[in-house]
Amino acid sequence: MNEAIIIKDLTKKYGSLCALDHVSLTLEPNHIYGLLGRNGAGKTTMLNLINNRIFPTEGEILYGNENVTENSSAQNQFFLMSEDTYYPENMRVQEAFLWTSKFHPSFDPEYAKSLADKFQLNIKSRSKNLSTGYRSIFKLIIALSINVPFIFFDEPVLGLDANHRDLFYRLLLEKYSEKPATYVLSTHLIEEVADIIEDLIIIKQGKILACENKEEFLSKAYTVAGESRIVDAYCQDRKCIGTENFGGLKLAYLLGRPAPDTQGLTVSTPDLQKLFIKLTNDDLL
Amino acid sequence: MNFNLNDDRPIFLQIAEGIEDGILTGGFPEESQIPSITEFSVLYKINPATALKGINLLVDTGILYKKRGIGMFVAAGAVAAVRRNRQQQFYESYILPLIREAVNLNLTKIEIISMIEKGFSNE
Amino acid sequence: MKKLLQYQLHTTKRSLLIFYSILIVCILIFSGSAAIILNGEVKGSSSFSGIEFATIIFLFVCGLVSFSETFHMFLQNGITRKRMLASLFLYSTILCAITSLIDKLILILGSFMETRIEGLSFTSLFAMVFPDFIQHQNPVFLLLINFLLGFTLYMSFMFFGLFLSIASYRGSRIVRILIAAGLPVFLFVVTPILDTILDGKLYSFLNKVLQIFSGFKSQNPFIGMASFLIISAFWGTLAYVLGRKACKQQ
Repeated sequence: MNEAIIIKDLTKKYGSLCALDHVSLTLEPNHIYGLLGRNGAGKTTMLNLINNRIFPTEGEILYGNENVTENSSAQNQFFLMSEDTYYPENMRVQEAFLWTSKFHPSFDPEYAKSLADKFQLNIKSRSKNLSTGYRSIFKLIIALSINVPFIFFDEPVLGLDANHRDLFYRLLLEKYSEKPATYVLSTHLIEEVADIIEDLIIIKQGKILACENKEEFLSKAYTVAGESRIVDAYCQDRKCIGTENFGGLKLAYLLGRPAPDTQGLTVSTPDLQKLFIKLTNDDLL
Repeated sequence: MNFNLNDDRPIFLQIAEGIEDGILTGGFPEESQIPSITEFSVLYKINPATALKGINLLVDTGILYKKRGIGMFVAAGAVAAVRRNRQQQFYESYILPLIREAVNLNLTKIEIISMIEKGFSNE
Repeated sequence: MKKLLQYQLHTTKRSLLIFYSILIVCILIFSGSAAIILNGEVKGSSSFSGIEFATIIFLFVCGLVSFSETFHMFLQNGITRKRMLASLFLYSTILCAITSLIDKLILILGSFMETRIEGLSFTSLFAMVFPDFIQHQNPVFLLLINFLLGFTLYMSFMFFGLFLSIASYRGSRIVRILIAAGLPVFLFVVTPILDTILDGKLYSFLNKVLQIFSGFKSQNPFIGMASFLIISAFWGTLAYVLGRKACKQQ
């Protein structure tokens, strides 16, 4: 009850390729995490390792002082909605609901059916006949209808139109507010989830770039804008992680806190997506 | 109350201000219940913790109070309290930025005052 | 475990139904036509022997397809590989028992039909292989032995199919080609050629080995049952070892 998932030195290598490199972090109960990273950064690998789809090369994942790999009692407390579909392609949505309720006592079939109505998903359809969007909807409905302490979403809104994405986020927040659990959202759509998440984990090339409260993370950076000369002068001896030019004006992204005197410059807080882009661009040393 | 959030100010502050606006305009009458954290969270698409932070800000200043097991209520005298707070903040929130902008545009004090008079005569 | 079994049996229900429907229809057609032909004075006979071969193929194929989809479904639902493999083995065992039972029922049905229709005969594999043993034995006892023999024989094929299924899933593309194409080629092309080269010595050797281990030589079906159980355990163990480390294929 109310345990955290503790990840220690988690490493996954495929031959010489290192997908995850000695990652350590803790997933606390009852938080919404954003797992952010570029394509191939290692997000799916991490989710697959936690949920016993693949095995670590080094390191361990602990839940309640037990290793979660090949551990039934731990895995029963987790659920992963993957990008890949693990359900047989001939299986109908309603069959999937039925079997899920048999394998997971905490699955709420009535709630799942009501969600299917909201999304206008035909529960008699077979998995293989669903469009990309509806396949995601089918899977995320199941994930939203299970009541376990840790629920992971890997690209949940792949292929969903704007209306359905909106509906998903609202349902997630409603569920989270009424029945707290930890939700980990792994996504590229940073702008969309920025206000929903409480904590973030940024992975860059298999390593953790950041793992903290979102507000604290954002408070560690700021932007200054103004005439290019003044901005450049300000950036001297300061940690600048990116700039944007516009004619004679410049916008610079910096880490730390702004100086007390910023004459001629407009200081502002960056939004999460822009900050993320600056931090994960490859030209950054 | 603004149903859209903007980027420049912390969200929990915007939530608090939105509730205050509601109190001032009579949308949230005194001793009535305001929407739940869940409703705020779903409406604005924000984390419930953020909504809670904004609400707690108003609880700390005595504008809202919590009825155990029921929800959040607008305190008696909240309207007057919000108005008082806003009046005190008026100088920082509106006058100072106005003067800064006026200086940028080379507007003189006289010009500003005549603009203010014009504005009031139109109200 | 019960739920896992329920799931696996549910997925096979349909193919099982189709298989036996086709089998029974075929039997009815052929024995029916024997009846018609015989009554129309065209002498002939219709004999069914070794219908167990059809079941063997069916179960072998069941073994081949049992891994991939089930593995994914179980992974999705937090089931560990150990439990999945245990369930797979239990499922295979139950399926082999059920099919062996149904096959014996068909044989009993067949012996009824034999009495009604002249020239119709049903011979079980058991009777073909162990003619000496079945002399002077209690028919109920024989039925039981027949059932057990079928059951263990089926298990050895199904577990082999299961092993191939897992080996193919875990292996690289080369391994998959080796299994899918290489195995049949080896069995049906390479060995006959080898045998011809060795002047028939290969097949006669294999024949001798088969006769001993199936219990044919000694007319003792219990030896056969033991051999089949050992073979099942062999493929089952290999399947387990491979299955423990299976990971979702990208």
